[in-house]
Amino acid sequence: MMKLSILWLTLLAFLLAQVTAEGFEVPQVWENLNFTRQVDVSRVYGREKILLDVKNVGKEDATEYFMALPIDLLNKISVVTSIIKDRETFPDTLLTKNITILDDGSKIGYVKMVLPEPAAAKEEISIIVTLEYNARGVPYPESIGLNEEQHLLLTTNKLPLSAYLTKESTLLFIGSSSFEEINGPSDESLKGEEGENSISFGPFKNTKAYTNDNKVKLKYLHNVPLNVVTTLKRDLWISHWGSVVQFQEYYELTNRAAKLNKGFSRLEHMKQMQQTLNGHYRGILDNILPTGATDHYYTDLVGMVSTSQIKGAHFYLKPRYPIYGGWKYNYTIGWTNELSDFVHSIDNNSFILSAPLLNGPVDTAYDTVELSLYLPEGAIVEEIDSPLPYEKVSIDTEKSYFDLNKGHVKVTFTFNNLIDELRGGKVLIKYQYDNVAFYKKPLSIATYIFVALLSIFTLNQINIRVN
Amino acid sequence: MVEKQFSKDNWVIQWVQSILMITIFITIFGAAISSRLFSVIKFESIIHEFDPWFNFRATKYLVENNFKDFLNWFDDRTWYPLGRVTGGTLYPGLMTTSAAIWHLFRKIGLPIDIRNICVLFAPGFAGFTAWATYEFTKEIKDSRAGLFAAAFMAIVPGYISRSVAGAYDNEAIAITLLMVTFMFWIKAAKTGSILYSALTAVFYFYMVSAWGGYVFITNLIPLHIFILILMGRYNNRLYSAYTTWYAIGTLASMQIPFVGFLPIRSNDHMAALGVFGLIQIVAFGNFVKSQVSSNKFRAIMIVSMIIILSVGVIGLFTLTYFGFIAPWTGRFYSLWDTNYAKIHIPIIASVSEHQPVAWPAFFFDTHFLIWLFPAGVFLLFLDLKDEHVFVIAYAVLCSYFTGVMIRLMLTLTPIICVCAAVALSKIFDIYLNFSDDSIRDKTTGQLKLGTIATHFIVSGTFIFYLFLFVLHCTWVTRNAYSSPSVVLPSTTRSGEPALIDDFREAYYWLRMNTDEDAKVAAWWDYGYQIGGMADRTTLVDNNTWNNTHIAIVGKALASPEEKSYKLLKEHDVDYVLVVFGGLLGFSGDDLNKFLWMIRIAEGIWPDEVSEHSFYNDNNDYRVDSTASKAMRESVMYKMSFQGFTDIMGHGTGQDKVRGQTLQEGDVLPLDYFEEAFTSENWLVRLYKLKDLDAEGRDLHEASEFERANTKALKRKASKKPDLDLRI
Amino acid sequence: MAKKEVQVNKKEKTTEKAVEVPEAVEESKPVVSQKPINSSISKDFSEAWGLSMKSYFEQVSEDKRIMLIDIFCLFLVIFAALQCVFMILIRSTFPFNAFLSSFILCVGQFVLLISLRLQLTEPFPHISKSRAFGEFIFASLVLHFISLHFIN
Repeated sequence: MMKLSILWLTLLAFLLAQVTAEGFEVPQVWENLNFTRQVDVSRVYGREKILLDVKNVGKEDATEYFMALPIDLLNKISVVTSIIKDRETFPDTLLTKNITILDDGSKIGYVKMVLPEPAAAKEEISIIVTLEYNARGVPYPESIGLNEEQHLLLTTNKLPLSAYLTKESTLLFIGSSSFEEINGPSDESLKGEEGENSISFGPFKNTKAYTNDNKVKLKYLHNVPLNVVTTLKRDLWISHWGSVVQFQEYYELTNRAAKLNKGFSRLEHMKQMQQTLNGHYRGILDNILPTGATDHYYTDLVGMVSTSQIKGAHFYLKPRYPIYGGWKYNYTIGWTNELSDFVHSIDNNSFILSAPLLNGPVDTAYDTVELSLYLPEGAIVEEIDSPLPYEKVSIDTEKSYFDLNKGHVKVTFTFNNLIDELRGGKVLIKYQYDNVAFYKKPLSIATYIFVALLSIFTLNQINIRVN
Repeated sequence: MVEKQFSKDNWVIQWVQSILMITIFITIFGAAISSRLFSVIKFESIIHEFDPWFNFRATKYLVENNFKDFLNWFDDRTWYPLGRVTGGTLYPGLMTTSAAIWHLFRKIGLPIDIRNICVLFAPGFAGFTAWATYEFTKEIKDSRAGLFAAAFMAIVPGYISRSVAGAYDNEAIAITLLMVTFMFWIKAAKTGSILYSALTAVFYFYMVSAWGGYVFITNLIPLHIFILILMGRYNNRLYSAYTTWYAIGTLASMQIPFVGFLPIRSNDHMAALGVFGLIQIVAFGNFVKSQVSSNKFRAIMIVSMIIILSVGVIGLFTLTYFGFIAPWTGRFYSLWDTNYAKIHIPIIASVSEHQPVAWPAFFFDTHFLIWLFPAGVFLLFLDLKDEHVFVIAYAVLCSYFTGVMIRLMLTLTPIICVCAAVALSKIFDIYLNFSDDSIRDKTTGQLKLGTIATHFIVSGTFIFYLFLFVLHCTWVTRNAYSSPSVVLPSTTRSGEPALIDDFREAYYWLRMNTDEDAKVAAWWDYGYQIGGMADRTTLVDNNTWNNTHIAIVGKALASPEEKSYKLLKEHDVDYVLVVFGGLLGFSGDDLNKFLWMIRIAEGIWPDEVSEHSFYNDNNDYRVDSTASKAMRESVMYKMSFQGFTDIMGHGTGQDKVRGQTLQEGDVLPLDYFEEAFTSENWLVRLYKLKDLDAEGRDLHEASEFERANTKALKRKASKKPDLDLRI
Repeated sequence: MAKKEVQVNKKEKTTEKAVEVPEAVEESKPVVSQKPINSSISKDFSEAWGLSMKSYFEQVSEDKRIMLIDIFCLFLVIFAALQCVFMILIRSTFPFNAFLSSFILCVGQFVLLISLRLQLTEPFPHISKSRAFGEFIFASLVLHFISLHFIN
């Protein structure tokens, strides 16, 4: 507990240091020699790879590089990592709270990269930044027929947005079989160059810092559903007596694809199913579970759903109805794993739980994930560790079956903007659970039953006397 | 199950006996509960049918709010736009009990989901019913008969039919309370104990809070007393038992908001009041009688009786006439005259539960108990103690009522079990008696081989019958009474078992993908389910309190589109739900109920809806090309069959329920409604009311225009000769 | 003193209970319309009356507790009657539940008392007098609880 409170304090201090600072000015110590931005639109979440060749134009050593991003995008970032190309070292990559407001009123936020070793004046280094965020193109047109193909429209900066001067830049889109620029410029040189499954713009020379007014509107084919889980409540119940970990996940799923313009026609849907398996509706959800999962179940708010299949680690769910654009579907799934798959004992009384972050369907973005870890009654949390920054964490207790004292210890993490690729991430919890707590439970249950029986017996005696 | 009388000083045998008893009871409990779990095993832990969904929803409301809110609950999500004073128009006993159980379990560290409590409620209480039946029968005959009765009660299909896991209806608790009340009443009447009588009243109150069928008790107990008085069997014990029960019971029953002042206003309760008055007089007369010679007393009594009775009857009639006492309700009339409902109240007649019983149902529901039943009644008649009169009155009265209304089979079943148990235990008393007295000749002491053989044959036969009974019960429960009716069993093409889950599919779609305040118009059968599963506002539901409102929905479905659209728009309807079984062969669909809708609507608007116009020229109810004009124009028809002829791709559709084939062009297109959702097997179809046309056109014109356009486009594209000219 | 009270109580009580009887005598006249029978019936009635009165006095004088019960009964009858009269006078049944609960409470308590009284004079098999009294207390408590609840 002590350690935890220390952790809390440091976290708090960290947050205080990051108080929003508007009108933040980036020290102009860098210059982008080359800025190559590659956007992958094949998923429901955006994936970008930005290759930066930068030069220290200041007079002193520089360690901090600020990468500018529109604030809307910054708030949706799921993962951002960076690597220094030649040295194979990793700068500390942090989201900052600093904001700069441009003349047109748009807000710009920053990702701060702290280089492991300072760059000397005039030094050139190459940084590769990978960015994944919970945002995507919007359906274009907004509503389509049931058997029409779906296109999305992505609006983004054509010229690089940076806090520094950019000498040369290119922009590349991949991940769709057809791209088309909407309302493109008349100037031929600014038009995109279409490749196979890609479109590229540029190179553009000498872009000023904070150029944010040259947008590209790109329409691209994306005839698959857009799975967005608005809320995921993921519970792990650790049972030392049963020696199992029970998983339960409650999903609130939405398909952000184009809406149907003429309502849903089962006849049309049946015809389409005969022709092709693909479409902008979600017919099957493929969950990848930990190996060795047993006792699967699949329910929703009105009871069990009988249409699911288990093939190895895959748990295929067929929702009650095909989820077309704009439709929602809430459901709950659960399964059980061996305790030893996730909990390792350090010594007799201490254990480490390493809980996987996600097990949901592929190609899915999550707005909010609430991960609750239920440790046995009487366990003491010593340390927690998360692979990602979390929105908040809390420790309390919740009563469950046969919890006659305080109830299970519950550690809840709240994450925002996750994507399915993070399923490899693990949350670690070190906790103490000694033999006293272990045996206390059955003993207290036995005591309660004994007292109940005794009181029934006594009551019987009294009754007889009255009669 | 056979016990013998052992000498009292042998405590070992007593111990064995009581342990045996406990074991038997645990077994009976186990049998009662496990045989009701078929539905959970075959399907899942789900609330069944229609009414239980409302009870479940009400229970959830009670659990989420407090009891006071529950009693004052005004539900604006049903009977739109009227709403329903739900708290004042329901029997709260069931919900209160399950909420209490839920809270209790939470207190002892078992936070069970309220749904599971509701699903397993009926099986749990079935165990208590068996125990109450045992106590009841013990008072009638002895504990041997009691054990038989308890075992019968535990597994008899007539009771299981309403108490399988998931059948979360008032009856689930009411039958238990009925038996407990009667058990205490018998004890009270036998001993005259005020305690038992007060307990009878308390459980009577509980019963009143749980089920409208409490009127049966209200009339049966006075009838028992009345018959006993007529038989000249009055004694002071009856006085104390009856008056205590009546005074406390009546006062208590008025606590239930839905019952209110009925106990002193409605005719259903007047018999009890009359007998209460009568027993006062009889008690006084009895006091006088003990002082006067019997000849003189007889004269006095007869004269007084005639006068009092006539004054009472005349008073009753005048009070009814002037409206101080509510006249009998429609359901009550239909008890006496089976045709009453058909003529006067189509809404009551349209409920299958209110139909007269089909005779094989008796055998189906009770197996061999049905022919032991008269034997048991006869045996009781031979003995004819005070409590036997009660059983006989119960048996006779209830047999008649069950013949009229199939639903009352449920109240008959306990007494069948009791009587059959009496008969059977009598048989076993004699034929399982292998003690020396019965099998040895009294004078010579030799074994009577003939007697032994008879004993073996008779008891063997009946044991075999018992065996058959268990088989029958299991079979019936498994196959007939364990279907939730929300989910339908079926098989896939490869022969594997599968479930047809169309109802939940559509309800869940409604719940997830429509506005939370969306109003859904559907026939009242689906009202509770829409409220419970789809959580959307309905116009009408299974609480059929407002006939006119139901008729509105009937009219909207039976009218042509334009008229229906207007009517539905007036009621803010967003979606219309119809159930269509034609593709699947589900016979309980809306088109088969359609005539009832028309009749109910015709009852209110005879000028606008006419049943006759829905029959074709040959006076047949058809849906194919020969269907009448009104039929084909009706919204129900169009909605059911929309797109149906295109499924197979050759322009015809085979309606599997009605066995008729529809041709392309039989089904006119919908102009005012748009298909919003159709479930996988087309069982449930949802239509959205289109918004008014943006260009201010009539929706019909707008659709015509669009159709003409698409046709032109198609022609251009395919360049095929256009032969399918539409009407 | 006690005796006087008893007498008053007694008279009232019998009239209450026998309220039907005089009526019967009067109305039976036109019905039967045969003088000899009619006169014999009225004779029977008066004879029965006398005998009942006599045995009643004997009963009461034997046991003071019964006397107490009877006084209480009489009080309840008067109270119930007063309530009725009051209701008729004000011509309103407005808090109908209040009226009903107190009226039925009177009736209920009355019948409970009578039941107790019957058991005191002539105990039922298997129920001792003290148990009967205990049961009476229990039932009365139930009755009063419900009544209080109903009266709001």
